[in-house]
Amino acid sequence: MMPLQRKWMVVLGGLLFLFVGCIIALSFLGNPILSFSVLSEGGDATLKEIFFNIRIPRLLMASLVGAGLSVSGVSFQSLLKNPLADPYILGISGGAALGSVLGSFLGFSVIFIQITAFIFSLLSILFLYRLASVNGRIPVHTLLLSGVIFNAFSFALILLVMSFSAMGQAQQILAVLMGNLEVTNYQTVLLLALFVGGGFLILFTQSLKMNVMSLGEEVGTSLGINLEKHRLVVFVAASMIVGASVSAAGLIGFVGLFVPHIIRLLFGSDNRLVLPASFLGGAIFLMFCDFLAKTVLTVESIQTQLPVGVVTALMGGPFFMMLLLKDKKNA
Amino acid sequence: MVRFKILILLLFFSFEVQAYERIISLKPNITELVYDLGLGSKLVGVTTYCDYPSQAQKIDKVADYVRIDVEAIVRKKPDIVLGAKENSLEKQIEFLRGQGHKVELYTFGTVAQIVSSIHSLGKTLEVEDKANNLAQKIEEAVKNYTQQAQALKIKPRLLVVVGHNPLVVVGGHNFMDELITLAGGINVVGASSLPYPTYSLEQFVAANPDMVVDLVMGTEKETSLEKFYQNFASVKAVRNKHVYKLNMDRFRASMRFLDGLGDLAELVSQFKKQ
Repeated sequence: MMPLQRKWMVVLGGLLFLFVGCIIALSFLGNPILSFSVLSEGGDATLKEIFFNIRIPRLLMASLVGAGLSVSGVSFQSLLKNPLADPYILGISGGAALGSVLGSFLGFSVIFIQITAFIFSLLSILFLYRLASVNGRIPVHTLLLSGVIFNAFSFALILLVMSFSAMGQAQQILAVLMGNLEVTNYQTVLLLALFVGGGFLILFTQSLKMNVMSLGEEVGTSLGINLEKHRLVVFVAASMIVGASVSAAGLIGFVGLFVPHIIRLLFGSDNRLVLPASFLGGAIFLMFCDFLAKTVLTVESIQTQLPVGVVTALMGGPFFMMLLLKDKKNA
Repeated sequence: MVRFKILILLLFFSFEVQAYERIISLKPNITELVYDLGLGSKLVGVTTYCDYPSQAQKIDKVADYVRIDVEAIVRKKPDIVLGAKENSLEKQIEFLRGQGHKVELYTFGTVAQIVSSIHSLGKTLEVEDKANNLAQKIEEAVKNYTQQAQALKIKPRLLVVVGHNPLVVVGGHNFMDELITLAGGINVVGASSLPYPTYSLEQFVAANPDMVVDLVMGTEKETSLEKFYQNFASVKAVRNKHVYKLNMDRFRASMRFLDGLGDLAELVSQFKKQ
């Protein structure tokens, strides 16, 4: 038992160190590059505002969304026994986006929008599970196909809502589809932290069961695991995270696919380690992607920022294809 | 008898060259220009966004901002369809032309283009004198604003916002950028080669504009607008209460952009007084 605990401590300690380092470094780096003087009392008010009111909340937001999408990716991959499961590819994020768009169209308050998004993502995953399972198993092609169709369907419904909206509201909907990690207050961050943190803790309690289940459902049931209950708990917790992340930051793809794979590649597939490591790794990954998205095109002659989903897709898309090719070879 | 035949022939020709009787406009600014040219009563189809002058609202709708309802247009039996090169679906335009409809497209990307489009519109619709008058009015106004702007001692650094969350602003390659300059301001994002860059909030705060003009349309209330900007207390425009909301419709590329330009120039000149 000792070596596992030590590995756990070393890996998570290292990642935590990297995570904190990233937050500190990225709150100073960017355009403009800030110096430590923003922390002093007499520092420049503009730079102080950038540091405290814009960069830090945005970094926290990126960490929470990245962490949330990664751990829900881990859970979906484990539960569906499919390495290609990712909230975005499966259409669960699309379902959450539909819920969030519908909620804001109906004029709900922020917390109710998040709850609507949660309900929609839960319904999406339950529906998808029914749709994709063949004799209790979930083959890759039915899963991906169901995801594609479900995504297309949610997007069509989002466009339907959009065509009923006024121009200003339509732009808000577009923002949800493109993904944006900017926040103007800490309340949003706090609310997201509650959803993501709570969801993560619930998932973590299931991590040992996830390990057992990976040996086969028969093994799990013979060891006394209530399969239905385990599945429901994981689905609810993961949907809670996806719903909150999507309604706060819009659609950001491939994070839930990319991060867990890298983590497993580096540290093995024990979910007790993979879950918290993906939490931290996802936070680091999305912070870094968002840093690129908001910084690379700030040169004088362009002065724009990319949607962060573009950056994650540029990294995750080719990675996904690689995995699919590998999967084909193994089959 | 021969004379009579010639007379009939002449009469026939005079009918042939007589200006168009059934006009369709595919853009709100073109609708406005058609009214300004005195031909509003000949319009048989407009877009859902054509709300000015108010009579235009009563005309049947055959298009929205980008898409056009080809069937509705064909049913109207127009003798000319007027559209803009910007934001038009080429396939639909080609289809109409293929069906033998006369479709004329104009471009309205800059003040100079507006002026030349008014001239060609007047030529096509056979109201050249009126078109010349309108064009002259624009040219004179532009000249006046240019002189006024040159006389300004303090030119505010101005940011024009067209969308929140994310912040979408007016960049360099944009008609509005030209109007900012004419009004005597300096576009803080003028160096950008994009028409509508997405500004990050850090860029917004770092750019620290003297004045913000918000053109965001739609459902947002004044209070939520104020709330949004109050998050950025260090920005000069916010601190000194130089955040203004203007109506985007008044900047349409018809004669009305002069109204919008007037609004903008007034804000700029007020800024100078303080």
